[in-house]
Amino acid sequence: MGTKLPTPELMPGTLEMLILRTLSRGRMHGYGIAQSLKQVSGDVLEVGESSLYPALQRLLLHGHVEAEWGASENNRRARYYTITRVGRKQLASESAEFDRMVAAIYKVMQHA
Amino acid sequence: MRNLLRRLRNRHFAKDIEEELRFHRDMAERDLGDADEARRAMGNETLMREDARAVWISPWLESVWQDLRYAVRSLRQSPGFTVAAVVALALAIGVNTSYFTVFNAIAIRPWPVADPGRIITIFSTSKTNTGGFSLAEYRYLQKHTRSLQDIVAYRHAAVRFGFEAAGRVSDARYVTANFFKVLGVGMAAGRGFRTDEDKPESAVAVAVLSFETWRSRFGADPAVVGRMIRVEDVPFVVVGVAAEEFTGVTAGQTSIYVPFAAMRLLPRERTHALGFLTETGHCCSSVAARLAPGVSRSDAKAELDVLSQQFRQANQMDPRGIELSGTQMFFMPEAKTEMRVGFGLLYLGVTLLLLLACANVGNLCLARAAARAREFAVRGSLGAGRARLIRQLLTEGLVVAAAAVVPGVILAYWLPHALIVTITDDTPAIRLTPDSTVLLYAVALGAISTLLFALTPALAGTRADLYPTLKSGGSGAGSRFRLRTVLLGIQTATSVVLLVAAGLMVRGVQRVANVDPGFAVDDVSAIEMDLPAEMYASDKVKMIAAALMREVALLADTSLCLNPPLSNIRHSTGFRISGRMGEREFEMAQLHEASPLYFQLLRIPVVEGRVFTASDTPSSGIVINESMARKYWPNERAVGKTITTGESREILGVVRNAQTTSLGRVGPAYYRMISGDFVPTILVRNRPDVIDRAKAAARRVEPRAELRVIPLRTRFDRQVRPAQFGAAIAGALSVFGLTLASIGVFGVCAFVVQQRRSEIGVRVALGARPVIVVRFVLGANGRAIGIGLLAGVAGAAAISRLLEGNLYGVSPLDPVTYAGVLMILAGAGVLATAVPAWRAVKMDPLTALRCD
Repeated sequence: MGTKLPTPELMPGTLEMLILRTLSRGRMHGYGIAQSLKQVSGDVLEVGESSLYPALQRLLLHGHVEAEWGASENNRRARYYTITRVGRKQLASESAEFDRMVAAIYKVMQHA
Repeated sequence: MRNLLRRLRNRHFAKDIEEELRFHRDMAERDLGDADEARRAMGNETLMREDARAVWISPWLESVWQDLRYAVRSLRQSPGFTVAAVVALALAIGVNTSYFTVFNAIAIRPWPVADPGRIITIFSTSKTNTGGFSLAEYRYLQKHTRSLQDIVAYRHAAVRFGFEAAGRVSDARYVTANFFKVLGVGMAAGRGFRTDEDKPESAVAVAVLSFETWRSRFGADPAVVGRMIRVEDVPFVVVGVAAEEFTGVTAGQTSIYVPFAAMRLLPRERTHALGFLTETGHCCSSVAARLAPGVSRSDAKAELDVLSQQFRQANQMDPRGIELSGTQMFFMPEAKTEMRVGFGLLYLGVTLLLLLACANVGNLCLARAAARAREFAVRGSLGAGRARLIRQLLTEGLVVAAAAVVPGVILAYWLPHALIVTITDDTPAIRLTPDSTVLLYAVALGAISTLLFALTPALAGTRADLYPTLKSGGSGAGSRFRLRTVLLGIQTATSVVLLVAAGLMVRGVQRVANVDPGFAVDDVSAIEMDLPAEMYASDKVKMIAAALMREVALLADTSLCLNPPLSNIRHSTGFRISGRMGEREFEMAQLHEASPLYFQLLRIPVVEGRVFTASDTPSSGIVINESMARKYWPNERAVGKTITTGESREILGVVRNAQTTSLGRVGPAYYRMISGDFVPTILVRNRPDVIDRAKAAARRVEPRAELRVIPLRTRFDRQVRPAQFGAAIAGALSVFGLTLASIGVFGVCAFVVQQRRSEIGVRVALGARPVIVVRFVLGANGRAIGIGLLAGVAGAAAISRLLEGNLYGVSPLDPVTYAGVLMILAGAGVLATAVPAWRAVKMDPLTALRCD
């Protein structure tokens, strides 16, 4: 295809937040989440499966998402993830924290 | 917690993730239109799967589980090593755990009561001794103390009780009424004592049975509460049974508890009971107390010091100190030094044995690691870190140790009990079985042993020379070699120490058995009279004693004494030497009572003056022994001097020291004529006609008396028994150690031969003489053994100094013992190395060179 820009380093935990945000719009399977992230971010965030699935497992472990097998668009068996109530709470708090961090970084960078 | 549940629920992880990834790949393939591209985009699938999996199961845990399974499989494949290691360790751990079981049960187990940490035992101390209190002082402390929630007192007694008149003599305890309540002892049936049942003015005949007594002698009959039993032929009512876990407050088992006041009801004690219960001069009852909440021991001690001083001053008694302790016997001031030294020495012995076993197994591990050098090299080249390999070997060691701990603990369930029963011909009073503390100790031993025997071989065995090992199959030179010789040296040294200790103790026992106790042991017997209980009220006893004295005076080869020789009954009394000491000072000596023929019968020689004759009376004078004469009249004749014991008594003569109380050093003692206050023991020449005549005389005096005839030799043997016991244990330990060490040396030599087969084959093929080959085989091993012997001898010399008290005069450096031990070891060593060396010599060089 052509050379791709390497995916920027995400702060740890950010990937989970992004996944939660994606799932807050509806249930999706793993591949769908990856595609959504890629599209919405304008091809910047290309999440490899080696990061995606471990992140999904962590979310499952902490109870932020639930998973169940279902039928995909082309009638294949796929595992769909849904955000839980706990997950939504987590998303809200992480999102607030992220905003705070970004604002702080911005202030430092803008300081003359 | 919820995480844990989710982890458990996600067991079918592997299948799920496979399918999920497959789906993902198919979708990517569909989107990207190229299978290879898709696969490449996915990245390292295996790694990803591992990472995803690692979220759920800690990878560390998984690798430990892997190690365990591999260890078990690997051990199963070398059964020889496994069995040898497990057996050696199991016995060593078993012996150590057995020791700790006994130590725990006797020395450091706290009382089985509620919250034993708040219970203190209180002792009255002076410069010379430590003891208990008079009940009068106890009551004073109880009334005025504020730092203690409450105080109890208790005292040992030996009584006969049962449903019938004459039961067996059993251990009993007088206790204060609050005993069970304060200590927090539950009742299995009935109740404890009430306060009104322990008043000296109105003694009540009530008793509480111990659970064991209730179970074994009364058949656990639930209707026992309220029933009447006879204690020393006096009717008592059983009001309760103590809880099962309360086995008493001392090591011995207590069968029955009665209130102190009930002393007034028992015939033997009746006469002095009131005085004992109320007056200040009497002693001694043991005292314990529960600390009030928030009070520390030092606070309590300070208060008790003051109270005791107040009491003693008000009653014109000499001041004494107070010492507090907990409920663990080992730390009590009363714990005899012999107990502490005995336990300490035994601990040293069993630890040495454990060390030996670990060195032995360590050598086995080392040999095994050497044999697996190739396997480690391969694993190392595949990427296993050295730490991982070491962990693998340690896991194997742990599995071996765990396999050894189990039979070790089982041994500890059986061994202590069996030993005590064999030694004392009697069931032990306390439960000698492992409890949770002991189990913990056994597990700790297993862990420590693993570290000892597995760690260093693991470190040495995984040293990183991969290339030469892979090529030539590894031939153990270098640090592994040095370690093996060190371990050999350790085994030799510990064997020497154990054997020397055992040898010295055996010689000690020999000496004790042959010692001259200072009197005739072999042809004298003692006849003890046991009167029916009610006769012990005063007058009857005096009449019987007087009648007996008259009868015995007419018999030849018969005499009377107060306590039979070697019965361990000490009768100390105070005396003053007039003119030499102040009014309040006194010295202590043993008191004996004897009739005229006593010294002649026991063949105790007279050194100065004379002994009692038929015409003497108690006021004629006393006879003292050499120790007393030498101590108080070292440079003059003692005969003719006087001492005061109540009255003034003249010294009639001096006799040679006789170990009539117990074997061992004889302190100052004096003899007076039979006073007739107590029932004496009859001593007779051990001839049937003399015995019969004496028994007939006794029966004439009191037909209802029970007569027991015990030869002095029996008593003597019983006294020697503890020494024999000690020597037997030391002997057993050392034999076991020697066997282990021999096997160790044998194993190492055989291994060396095996490893260097090709070298030996070459040498033999080149015409080396057998001697050269043997020397080659022994090589550095011989040096290790030699150094081990030297170190062992030095260690033995140092350690046996500690044994000195138990050696009955045998020198810790006794040359006979050391020479004997060295010979035994030399013999064992020769045997152990001979077989492999022989095989080495006889090896067919062609076969050796061929199979590399």
